[in-house]
This record gives sequence, structure tokens and C-alpha cells, in this order.
Amino acid sequence: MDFSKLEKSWPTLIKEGQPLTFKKGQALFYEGHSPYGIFLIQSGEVEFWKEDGNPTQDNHRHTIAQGEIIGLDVFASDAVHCCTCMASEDCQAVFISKTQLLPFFNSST
Amino acid sequence: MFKLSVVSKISKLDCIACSSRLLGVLCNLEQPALEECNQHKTTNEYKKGQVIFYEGNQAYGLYCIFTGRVKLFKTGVDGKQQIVRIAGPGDLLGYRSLFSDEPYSATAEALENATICCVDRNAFFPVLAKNPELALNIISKLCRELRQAEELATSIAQRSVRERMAELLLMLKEAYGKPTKKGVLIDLKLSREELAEMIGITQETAIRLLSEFKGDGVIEVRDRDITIVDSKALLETARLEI
Repeated sequence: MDFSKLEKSWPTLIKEGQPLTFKKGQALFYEGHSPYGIFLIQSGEVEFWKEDGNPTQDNHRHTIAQGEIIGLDVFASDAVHCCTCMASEDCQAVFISKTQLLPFFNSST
Repeated sequence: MFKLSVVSKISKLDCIACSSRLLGVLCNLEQPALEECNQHKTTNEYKKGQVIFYEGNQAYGLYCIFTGRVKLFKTGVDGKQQIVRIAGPGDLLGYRSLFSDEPYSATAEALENATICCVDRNAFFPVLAKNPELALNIISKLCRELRQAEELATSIAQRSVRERMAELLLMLKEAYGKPTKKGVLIDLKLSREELAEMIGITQETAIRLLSEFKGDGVIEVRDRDITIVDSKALLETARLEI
């Protein structure tokens, strides 16, 4: 994984990404799902929940600062989301798809 | 940051061997195109009630249902939902928004547990460009959906609520009917509210109409299971010809 290359291409990726709006209570992704891509949070706040309905033990409510990315670690490790992510208030995000990201991951192999 | 726990992925479905693909517009795709889709596809299992995409958001992929059923609904300014379509195995979701580059006009929610594949939009357009037959299949599908939307609009404007409910039950019978000893069971568990949302009536009216049909011996109702006992009577009520 070439993070420096990814960092340099970040402005282009954001420009080509899909702007999305999630209203309070809407899900960005679900626990157990393979990621379709990653989310760059531009405004708002999201919460992370486990399947059993309990907040995640670490810190169930995480205020996402502007510019924070969700899902890159899951994507990089080829894992699935360990919890459900829901907008706890209206939230704006840019979605960067798997296809946009894959070239950066393949370059490391 | 949140700790990652590795949860096993569901095995990725193979488009070439997919039985549901043969039911939908992707049925004629040849191996190279299917391999292309396979490479840029993510498969997920949605539980009943989980949302695949939300009305108003941009499309970032083309969804194809492998198993399960999904309802597509629009939400009015008063928060009231109107179901515009029910999709099942082999059906595509979100393609209108993808092709028109407009936000989703409806929300897609799993009516039952569903396995759904998502092909990245950047990968699907080249496949479409190389496969004119796929484009024709999609145009044909769009035309059918447009006709259904026109019929629904006409039905809501011109038919009584009783006629609309009879018509809906007949439509569900055609699409999801399963013969039983008593008649034809609608093999799709919809709540009274969802039935109402399909024909633009209130939940209370839907409950009353089902009760009337039941009282007339036209249908049998057990929880969310509806069995059509007398199709002829429903046809007459709906003022439809065979």
C-alpha cells in the first residue's frame, strides 16, 4: 500500500468521488459488510454500533472531524466492517469507490 | 480510532454461474463482460430492514439482487412513504440514477434478508458500452417500468380504493403467487402499511379492505400471509379483464 501516492492523489479522488448526504439515523454502512469504498466526512457526526444493539465498547459515539476518513483501514486489510456506522446528525460525506482506490493498493504488490 | 475485528466475508458470488442473473437484464452478457463485473463487484448480505441506498444520494454503483426482495419507496414531505416498486432476484437497483447521473429518486430497503452485489459505476459503463444487447435489455426494462408507473398513476387517479386493493392483490398473485390447497398464497410478507403504501391509501383503509375481502370469502388472511381464494371475484372488483 503506497500511502504517499494516495495522499498526493487525494484531491483528485475527492473531486471524482460521490458527494453523499445522510440524514440523522441513516446508515453509511453495516456491520459484516464488505466495503464498497471509503467515506470522507465533510460535516456532521456519526455513531458506530454493534449488531447486538450495544454501542461499541471502545467509544461508541465518535465525533468525526471535518476531513476524517472512515473505512480506509477496513479496506486496506481486506476485512469487513466490524460495526454499523450511522449518522447521529445530518452528515455530508464524499464517497470514494473501491475501483478508484484499488490502483493504490495493487501498486504495493 | 476503533479497533478492527476481522469478521469473515461472505464468499464472493460468481456472475458467470449466477442463477439469478438469468432472470434479469444481465442474462445475455458474455463471459468477458461477466468477468469484468466480477472483478469490480462487492457482495453483501442485507438483513431485513437494512437500507441499500437512500433517496437523494448519488449512485456509486449498480446493484443486482441475488436473493431476497427489496422495496423501493419515496418519502413525501409529510414523511409518508409510497412504495414504487418491489424488486427480486435478478433485478437491478439504482440503474436509472446511474444512467441519468441524477440522485436516487427512491430509497431501497430489504423486505427480507437479501444477498446483493454492487458493481462499481466506473466499471459498469465500459461493460455497457461494449454490450449493445445489454443496453437494449435495459431500455426494454425501463419502458416496462414506465408503463407500470403510468398505470399506477392512472389507477390512483381513476380507481376507487377497493378496486385498487383488488388490482394490487391480483398483481401480487401474478408476481409472487404460490399455489396451495386453499388457493394462491402471495409469497411476499408485506405489512398492512406496506400494502397501503403501494397504492396510496392509508393503513386503516388497507386493514378495512382486507377485512371486507376476507368477509366476502375472496381471500384468507393469516398474519402477513394472504391467500387468494376467489380470483374471479377480485377481477370483477378490480374491473379487469382476463
